[in-house]
Amino acid sequence: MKFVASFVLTALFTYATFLFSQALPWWAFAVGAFVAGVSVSQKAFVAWLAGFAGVALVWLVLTYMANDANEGVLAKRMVQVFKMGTSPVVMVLMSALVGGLVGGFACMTGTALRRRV
Amino acid sequence: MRVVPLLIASVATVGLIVAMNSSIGPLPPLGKILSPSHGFWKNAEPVDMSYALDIKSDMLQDKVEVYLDERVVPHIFAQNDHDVAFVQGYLHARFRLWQMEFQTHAAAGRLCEIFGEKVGENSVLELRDRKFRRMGMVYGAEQALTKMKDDPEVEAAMNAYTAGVNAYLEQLSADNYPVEYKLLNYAPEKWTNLKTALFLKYMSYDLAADLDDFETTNLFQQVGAANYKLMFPVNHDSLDPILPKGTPFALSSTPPVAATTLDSMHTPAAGSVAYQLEKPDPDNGSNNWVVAGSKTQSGRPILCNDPHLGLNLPSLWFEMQVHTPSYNAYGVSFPGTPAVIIGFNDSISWGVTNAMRDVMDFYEVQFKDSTMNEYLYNGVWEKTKWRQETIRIRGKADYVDKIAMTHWGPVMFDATYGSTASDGRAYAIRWKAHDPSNELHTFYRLNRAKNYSDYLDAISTFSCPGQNFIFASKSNDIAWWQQADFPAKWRYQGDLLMNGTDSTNKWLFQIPQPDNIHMLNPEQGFVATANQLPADTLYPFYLGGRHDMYRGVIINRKLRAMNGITPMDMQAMQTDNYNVFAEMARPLLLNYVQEEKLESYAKLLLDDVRRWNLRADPDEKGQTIFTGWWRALSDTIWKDNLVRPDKKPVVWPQDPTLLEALLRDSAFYAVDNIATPQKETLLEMVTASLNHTAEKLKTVPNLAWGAYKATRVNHLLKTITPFSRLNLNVGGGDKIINATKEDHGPSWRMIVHMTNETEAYIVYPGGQSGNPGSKYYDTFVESWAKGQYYKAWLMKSGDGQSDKVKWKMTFSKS
Repeated sequence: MKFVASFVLTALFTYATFLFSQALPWWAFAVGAFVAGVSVSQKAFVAWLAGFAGVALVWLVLTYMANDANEGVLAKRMVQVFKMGTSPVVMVLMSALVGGLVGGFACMTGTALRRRV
Repeated sequence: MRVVPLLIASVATVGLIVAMNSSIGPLPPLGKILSPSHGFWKNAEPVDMSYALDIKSDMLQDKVEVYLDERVVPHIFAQNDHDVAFVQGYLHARFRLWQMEFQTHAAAGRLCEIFGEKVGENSVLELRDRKFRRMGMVYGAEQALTKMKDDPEVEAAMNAYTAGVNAYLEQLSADNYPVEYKLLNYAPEKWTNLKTALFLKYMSYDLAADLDDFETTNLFQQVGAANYKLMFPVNHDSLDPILPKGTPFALSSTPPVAATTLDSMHTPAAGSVAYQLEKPDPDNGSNNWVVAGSKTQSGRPILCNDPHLGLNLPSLWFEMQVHTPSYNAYGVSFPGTPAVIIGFNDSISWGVTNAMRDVMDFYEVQFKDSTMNEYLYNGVWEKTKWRQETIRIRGKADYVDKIAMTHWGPVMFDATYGSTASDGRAYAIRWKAHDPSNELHTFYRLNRAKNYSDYLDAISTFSCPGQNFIFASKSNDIAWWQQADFPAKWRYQGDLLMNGTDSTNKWLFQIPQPDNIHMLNPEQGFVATANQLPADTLYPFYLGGRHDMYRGVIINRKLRAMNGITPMDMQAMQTDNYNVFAEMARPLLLNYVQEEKLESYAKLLLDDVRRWNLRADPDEKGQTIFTGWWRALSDTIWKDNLVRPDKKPVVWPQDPTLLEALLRDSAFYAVDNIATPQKETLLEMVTASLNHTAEKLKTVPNLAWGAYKATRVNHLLKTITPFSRLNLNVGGGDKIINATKEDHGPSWRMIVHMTNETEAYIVYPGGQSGNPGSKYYDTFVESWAKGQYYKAWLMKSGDGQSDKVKWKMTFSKS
């Protein structure tokens, strides 16, 4: 339950920062993951997983939809800029991975703070 | 110890965010660029995206309706000139923001702000920023602004244009920046009138920068005056000038008496200057021609233009239509300036090609001492004025460049830049683009011109770069003027470096505008310009510069023979791949090759050349082999004569010079290789060149010209190849009407039929959107590569409901 709670919270915050992106920096979602971590006391490893999954899922869906609407035009170019082949899906996965990485540590930080205090 | 996990987690989190927020080496900020909210994903435009907009601004005077068609060409319907310029600025920013700013940063010598001091081994500071600062690009732009300010129409247009660009920037948040900003990790700046002026200076650089004076002087020292005249003849036999040979002139002025002759011209002591700076492509030229009603099927003129420039994405050009109560114009514009630059309106059409004349000269300056505070001028020590250029460098302290300013202009090369001489030789640059000028006035007036008199009025003030302006009207006038403020030069003046202590070496006066070469309704029924010499030597002024020859020959030949011309005929002609140079050179090669001395593969290649139809079509191997063969022959003949013992760079003679020399006399002195003890003959050289070419081509899997040439359209950041279009199977080439080289060629093709309704066929290798994430980024490349055209839609006021309108933008006064 705790995992689900922090996972869902992270995901919601991440989506919210996406909606307000004009006024926020790109890493605002990390603050959201941090808050989600603070809200739920859990083991560090579990918090990391929840943060990772929460952000990765949202980023996966958002970038997948963007890529689909764009018919892969830009992602196909970008994956070649990054020299990682020609499949746009690689960019979707890479984005989810990178976002999730930051989200995991942010959520873990939140939980560590809660447990410290 | 509960602190430890917290410490580790928070350090990891913050550390990751910081790392992903910064550019590490060539990598963009990873977290930022991959983020769905701020990264490139925001630039991944949905393919069914709508460009519809409703903008309210207190800077507008009235309502403007912009209708975008399916090619994203905006058709702007405005009520006054101010609003046109405003909306044009807004649209340029909306579709081409990054390109506009990047090009003006390059012109302003501000690339170090983006890239840092170096990219890999290449010094951005030395090779780009200092070069343009010291060449006086910013200085020239400032000078131009002073003149443009005095022209109320142009000043108002520039202000409105700048306001339009900035109106777009005001609503642009960082998450929506063009993707190149995100990759290079910087932000756009406000637009200014200076940036518009800088853009125009960049075009002057691209079209009227003659940086060859140093290499030409190096060559002159190597071969002497007599051979220099042979290598760079003022005239070629096969020249077919723009103005027919033998046409007499009635001029009001006469050329100045030469202050010095070529033989006694001062040149710096041997071995004093060496530099290697990137120069504009020498083929930055174009074709244009206009045929009179007497030669067309409809009885109305047809005007054609294809400017030859670097092929880039986004394209230099942005297509649009402008409609106001006083004029209705269509054509291409420069993102960076207001007005339609090449195009037509309801009465007339116009086009441009580069005049290729030399308006950039270098003068050796003698300073009193290493402080450079005084320089010698007509026996007097004059005080140097100093100009400071501060170059900001990303990640480093500013570089402050101090440039000595003299009577001649900025001292571009001195002990601190570009000169390896230990005695601190210095060279000032005298460039026409430094003189205050108002080029925008010409385009502004051309957009509104109704007849020949308006056209002449519009172009008469055009100062730099020299252009061949052609003209056609619905009332059946056709015309051409080679227009600029040209310096009156004596023969060879400006080819070489000149002595800057003596003012008699300066440009003594300007050729009066009416004495510029021109034609109005010529008997031959057409005018065609293709960067060849505008006239034979009956025109007494010295032109300088290096002129092309062969496109002029083939275009004139075709137009003389044609009658009952239609726009389709003109399409076929603009995309024609016939190689007239090969027509003239192949017989020489075939006559002198000794077949029995050829390697087996070379024998096969010889057969291909024999059977070749002289066309540079994509499938032709003959074009590939011939081009390689000629190049090898030219290199081997000239090399031993030109390469200096100290290896300093020299300028190479042009191809027509060699061909005509060999056709006249196969024992032309240069044929013998002076590096070898025996005396070579043309037979040996021609044969050896084909063997050499065969060796090189052996490893090439596909000799078909299109595959071999592998034409490409490069993104402005050449290194980002995924943003470019590569391996386009296109024919044509240098010296051919379809002048498509590897990444240079017809950047715009336009054919305008001056019927009552006006019929126009156009295409360019790019797309209206500058966003690599948009499906409209490279829409026209395929059609252009195939030699196809679109029919321009000339929208009328009542067409708002037409199904040709895909999106509507409304700009209203708030």
